[in-house]
Amino acid sequence: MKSIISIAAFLLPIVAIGLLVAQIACANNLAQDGSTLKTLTATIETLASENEALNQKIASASSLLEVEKKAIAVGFAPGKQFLTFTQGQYLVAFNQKR
Amino acid sequence: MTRIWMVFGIFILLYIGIVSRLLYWQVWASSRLKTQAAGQHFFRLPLPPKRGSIISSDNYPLVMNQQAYLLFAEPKNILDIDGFAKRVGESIGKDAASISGVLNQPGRVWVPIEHKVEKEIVERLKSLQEKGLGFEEEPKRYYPEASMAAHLLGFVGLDQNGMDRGYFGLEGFYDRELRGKEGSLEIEKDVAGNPILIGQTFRVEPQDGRDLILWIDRSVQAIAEKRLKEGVEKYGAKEGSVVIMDPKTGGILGMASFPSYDPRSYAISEKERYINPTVAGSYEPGSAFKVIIMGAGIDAGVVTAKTEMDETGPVEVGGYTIRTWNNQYHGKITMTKVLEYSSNVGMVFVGKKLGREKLLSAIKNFGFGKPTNIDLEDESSPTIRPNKEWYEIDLSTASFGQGIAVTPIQMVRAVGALANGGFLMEPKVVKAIQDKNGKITPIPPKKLRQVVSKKTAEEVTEMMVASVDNGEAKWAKPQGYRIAGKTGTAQIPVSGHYDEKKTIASFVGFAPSDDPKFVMLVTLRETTSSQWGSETAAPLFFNIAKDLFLYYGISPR
Repeated sequence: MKSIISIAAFLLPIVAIGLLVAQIACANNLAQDGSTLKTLTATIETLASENEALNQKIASASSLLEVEKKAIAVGFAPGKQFLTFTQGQYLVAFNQKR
Repeated sequence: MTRIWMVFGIFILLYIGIVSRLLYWQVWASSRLKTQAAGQHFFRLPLPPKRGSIISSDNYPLVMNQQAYLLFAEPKNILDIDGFAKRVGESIGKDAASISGVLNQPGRVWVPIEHKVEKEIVERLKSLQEKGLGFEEEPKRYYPEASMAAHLLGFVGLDQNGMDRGYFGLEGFYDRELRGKEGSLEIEKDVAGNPILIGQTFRVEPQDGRDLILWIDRSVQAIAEKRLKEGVEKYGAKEGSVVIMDPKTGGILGMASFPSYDPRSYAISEKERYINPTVAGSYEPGSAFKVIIMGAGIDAGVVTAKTEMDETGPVEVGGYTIRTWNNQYHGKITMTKVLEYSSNVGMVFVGKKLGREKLLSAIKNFGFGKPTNIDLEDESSPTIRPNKEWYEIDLSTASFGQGIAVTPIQMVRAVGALANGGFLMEPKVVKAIQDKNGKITPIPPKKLRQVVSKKTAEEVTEMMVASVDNGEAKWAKPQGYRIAGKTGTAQIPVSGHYDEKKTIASFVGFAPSDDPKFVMLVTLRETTSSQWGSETAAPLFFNIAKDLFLYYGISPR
């Protein structure tokens, strides 16, 4: 009985110290998690903001005004005459013999 | 004994007093006290929601949000107020004296300097590292297509509390949907008003506004606006409008008015420009209205396309003489010819055949006299007089579209009923509403009632096709297409009489007539090159129609 008590008296402080160390480690980890969470939240906000800015750029670049400007710049001109093929009409090339 | 009763009475009175006071504090004044207590214990920071976008049917944004910021200052942290005001004022283009004036006011701890400052300017200001200068996100509206569809979209301004609010058009009508719901952040504060680090915080996330997906097709809208502007300039018109609707759904594909305004700088435009003339502006439709009365006549069985009338000369009605527009008379003509010649005398014949009750009931049945319930804030409708106030001459002139006021949207919807087999549709600009999770709630097309039978609609369509092919505007018609339409030229009432020189020229029609893809109304006010619809509004209609045929890939026969 005496030996059990003496073993317990020896082990209990060690267990207590172990638990204390574990608690400090856990708390430290949790504190780091908080920092990671903050970084992630900030990254999400930055990405959302960049995404919004990019959406705006895409909308600007694909607007009809911009498309028309670019089309004119590369030499496109408004169509004046149109040739339409309706059912029953065939392209000339279709009737040529190979 | 008396003293005991007196003491007892005093205790009772005291008890009643205490209970009354408690009742007052805990019941009557409780909400006010709660608010006061919350104000003493908590900061409340509003978290503004993001306003929804407005997207065309081909999935391009017509209105979206742009990153912008509220610029504010905390005077107690500023070392040199005049220098601060000068540097900030230069960057935002604001007078330094007005900024320093506000900053120097005693007791100011937080001063808003400028709303909705664009990101580039904010980046430049941040680089100055001014102490006491702060930024709060405050998105503003961005219009990728510039001033396109301004009347339709409306604009966003500030309400009396300084909060964003939509005015006119879709921004006004769907303000609650677009606006979303404000969130809040409440932080516990100490007696000095500073936040408590380990105090309680309550965060209610804002709910962003919902997006509107329109029936409007960006390309159709661009075509309508471009051609209308050209038409107004070419024909020297004071104003003009174009409405293009899908007759089968009532969906508005394009809606343009000229002159217009720029929603980005609405404040510098005349306020009258904000109102959309296609839904709020009334006009006398003139001969274009003949197709409605003819439809009513055929549906009531009083005439058919082949019914003949004798157009020998002017007719006398109630002491007034009614002539044809060119004072030419063709003898015996069919109802189809009445439309082709646009004969007022022929329409008086149809009006008389219909009679007062049927004629007025048909006008109302086609939706005139009441708003169409289009989803735009500015809609208003001219009223129709009570039946007993219609005299014989009024009925006769109404049969050819004079003396009756309509809005362009009412007119295009009524003709749309002839295009779709007889159904009066409720016109809609918004096709669906989408929330931020991507859930789409469609707004289904709404058939209100059948105003004429399918057979009548087909018969009137053929008469309208003949009217285009053989009428005054046949020279402008694109070859190979079957287009149903009718010109209109109405004199403008000025001070109790009609001004012969001032007219509203219009053309209403749909195409291809066998399976209509669109119904369109073009109106031009006070044209100077010619007063006739056949020489102004009709060619403009056909120009737009040609572009639409190409866009929709509709080939000629």
